[in-house]
Amino acid sequence: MPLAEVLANMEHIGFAVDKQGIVDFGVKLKQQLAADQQLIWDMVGEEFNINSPKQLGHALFEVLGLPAGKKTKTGYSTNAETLEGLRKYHPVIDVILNYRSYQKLNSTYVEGFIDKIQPDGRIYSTFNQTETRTGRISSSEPNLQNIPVRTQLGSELRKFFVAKPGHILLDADYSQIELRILAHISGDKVMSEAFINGDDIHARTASQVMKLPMEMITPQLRSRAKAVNFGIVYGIGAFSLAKDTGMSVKEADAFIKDYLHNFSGVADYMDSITAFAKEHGYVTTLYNRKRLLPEVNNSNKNVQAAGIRMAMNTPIQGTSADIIKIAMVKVYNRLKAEGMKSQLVLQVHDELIVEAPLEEMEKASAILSQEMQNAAQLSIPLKADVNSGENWYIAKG
Amino acid sequence: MKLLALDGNSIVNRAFFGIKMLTTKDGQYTNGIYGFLNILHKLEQDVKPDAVAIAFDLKAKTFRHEMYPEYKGNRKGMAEELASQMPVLKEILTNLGYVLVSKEGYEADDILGTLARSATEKGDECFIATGDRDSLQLANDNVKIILATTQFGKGQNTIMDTAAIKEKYGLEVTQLIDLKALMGDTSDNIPGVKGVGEKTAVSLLQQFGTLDNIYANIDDPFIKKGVRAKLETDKEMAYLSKQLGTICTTAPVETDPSAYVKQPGDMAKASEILGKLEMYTMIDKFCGEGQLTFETVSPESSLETVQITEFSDTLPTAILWQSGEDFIITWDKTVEKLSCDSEQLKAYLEDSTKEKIAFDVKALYKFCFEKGIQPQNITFCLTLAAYLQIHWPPAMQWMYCLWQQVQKKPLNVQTHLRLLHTVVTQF
Repeated sequence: MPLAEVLANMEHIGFAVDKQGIVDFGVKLKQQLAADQQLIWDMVGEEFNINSPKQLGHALFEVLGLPAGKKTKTGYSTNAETLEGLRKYHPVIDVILNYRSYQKLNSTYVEGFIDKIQPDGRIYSTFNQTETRTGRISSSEPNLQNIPVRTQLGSELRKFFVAKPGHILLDADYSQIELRILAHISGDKVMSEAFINGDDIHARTASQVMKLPMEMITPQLRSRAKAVNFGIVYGIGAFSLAKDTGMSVKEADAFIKDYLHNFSGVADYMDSITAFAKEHGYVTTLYNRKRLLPEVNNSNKNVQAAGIRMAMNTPIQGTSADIIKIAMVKVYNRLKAEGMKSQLVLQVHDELIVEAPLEEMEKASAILSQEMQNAAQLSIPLKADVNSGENWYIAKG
Repeated sequence: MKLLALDGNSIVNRAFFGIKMLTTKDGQYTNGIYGFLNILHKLEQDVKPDAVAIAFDLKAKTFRHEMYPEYKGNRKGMAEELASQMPVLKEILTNLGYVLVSKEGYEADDILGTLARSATEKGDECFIATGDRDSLQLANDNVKIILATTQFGKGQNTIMDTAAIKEKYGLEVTQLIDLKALMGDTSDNIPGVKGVGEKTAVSLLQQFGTLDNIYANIDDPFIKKGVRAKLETDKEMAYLSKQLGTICTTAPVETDPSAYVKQPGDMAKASEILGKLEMYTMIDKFCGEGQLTFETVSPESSLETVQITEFSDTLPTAILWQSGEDFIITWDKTVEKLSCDSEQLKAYLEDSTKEKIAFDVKALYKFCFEKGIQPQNITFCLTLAAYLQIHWPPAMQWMYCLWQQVQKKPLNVQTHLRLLHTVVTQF
């Protein structure tokens, strides 16, 4: 309930945006879209509506005669996976993939947002804490929690989320909170030690699994370890791991086995939580939030497997959601108690954003990191990094 | 008369396997029921029948098992998750007024076949709805087969009449039984002629017309040597398979379509069951508007008209929620209201001696921030409690009925209703 007050406040305050910036960005996108569209039409040799899967299917598989993949109920499949597979056949595929991502960027994030900007230059989103099954908070109208991170163009969007004049944005991020929670819940000695020593957890993982000293870990090995670290609590299998990292399925399978051998605490946790879920039909987070999981005892193998993945993942993701909510309430109360004007404006999964007057910047940053790190007492210290900037792109660091 | 006859088991199987496992919070599976009702609804809309018959299999052995003990021997038992839905589905259908029909010793197909034959003789129109192809042999000028499937939880029906069947299989309807005799049917464990599949069977029938004619011309050079040998070895099996694959059209069931006209049923009971299964859209579709009263949700409540009085400041604890221009404050059947802009409301909200329970605490806080009010002594939130599956105190149960009255709308299937229902029925 205290969180409801914090969320209500965030809804009340909104987030400042650079409207002109977004509009200009939209214009640029549309130009790019028009250019790409013309290029695609030239390559195919006829004009058509690229956004219509039916017409696109016709263009690719009939006019250009490319090999058709899956058929959907309404025609040819033109989804991302199918197109990826066709890349080597014709240069137009790359252009189409680009076109599609710009299109999505434009309609969801540019036009979708522009609609929601109020006359005072701020966007007022709604935050809901009664929607998800893991305990995470969701954001809607617009959804500010799923702005693309990985793509270059997507992250550009963050430049348009700004602090109002005389203010600055503070972006505080929990560093690997889910892994730390995993280390705490599973009690795994190797993982816990790495965190307590302040090691780079992914490098340490790679070093442990490949039996190499830390200095010999290449970026490639590190990213494999990273993929497993993040994937293991989602029940990642050799197939997906291979796809994500470019390893062969055999290598990925071996990697996972070695991982579980080295991090036996994690392996034990995965087994015991699965057994618990099967016996009781639910799992809980560290703060005793329950999630019912009838799927784990379903006769259908696929449904059951999905249920088991949720059983492993929910205590981790759910606990992390709980901790962030506690942190939000603490930050809010502390800022209020000290009579400060700084306000929490957004939460995105492991990230909290505060809009602070310039003169309060130092103090607010300190409060953010203190309260976030104190939000829970785990056997592993929690780490929160705070960055600042006049817009979200810079503040994210 | 236009008769719509459904193969109940076949369709519920399609629904069960075609839709992901939906359950109510008590763990009662509902995907088969949900899918079935969707398909039924769509069929009624498309066909607009005068009468509807729903045929179900019975567990007892049928005449086919006696002919060939291994008939359907490959079938595993019905999955528990589906079996638990069958009696509930039948109860719902009966209460909705549908006439169900089954006969020991006969399969649903045979009942459908009998109804189809009878309709043909009378010159009536008959639509057979099923999820599998076994009934295609019944098609003729009066009888059409509708293959019912689910697509993303919605009904999708394909009509197969004699022309469509000819186009798809390259054979006349009358040849379909002989087709099965030759190629068998793996799902029913009908053997057919070993080694003869669809392609060979179709080409033989296109050439010779009937099973009898094939065997009459067994030495014809058109038939390849290997195929001839297989046909000769399994001649007995072929004819047995023909019998197994022929749908009986003389099952001892009522064939007068007027016996299947929809009965009045018991809509209240049907809504109650559907409500318990959390299938509110089905209540709208089948029971008509306004059928869902709060009697189906909270048995202790009654249809009183509610007197809303002016605020009197006497309630020690109260539930608040905003209804348009007013705030409604209620406890244990007393209802008072205050205008949103009033000073009294502000004073009440800021009074720390008055305990307040919010319907939606986030909305309440937001309201306060906008008006510059500092609310005190808010101890509970109904929406959050519902999300966390915490029981509401008993005195609040009545509030649910009040909420409907004050909103002055018939109940519908919005999120709040679901939340309220979830909590209220926990009592």
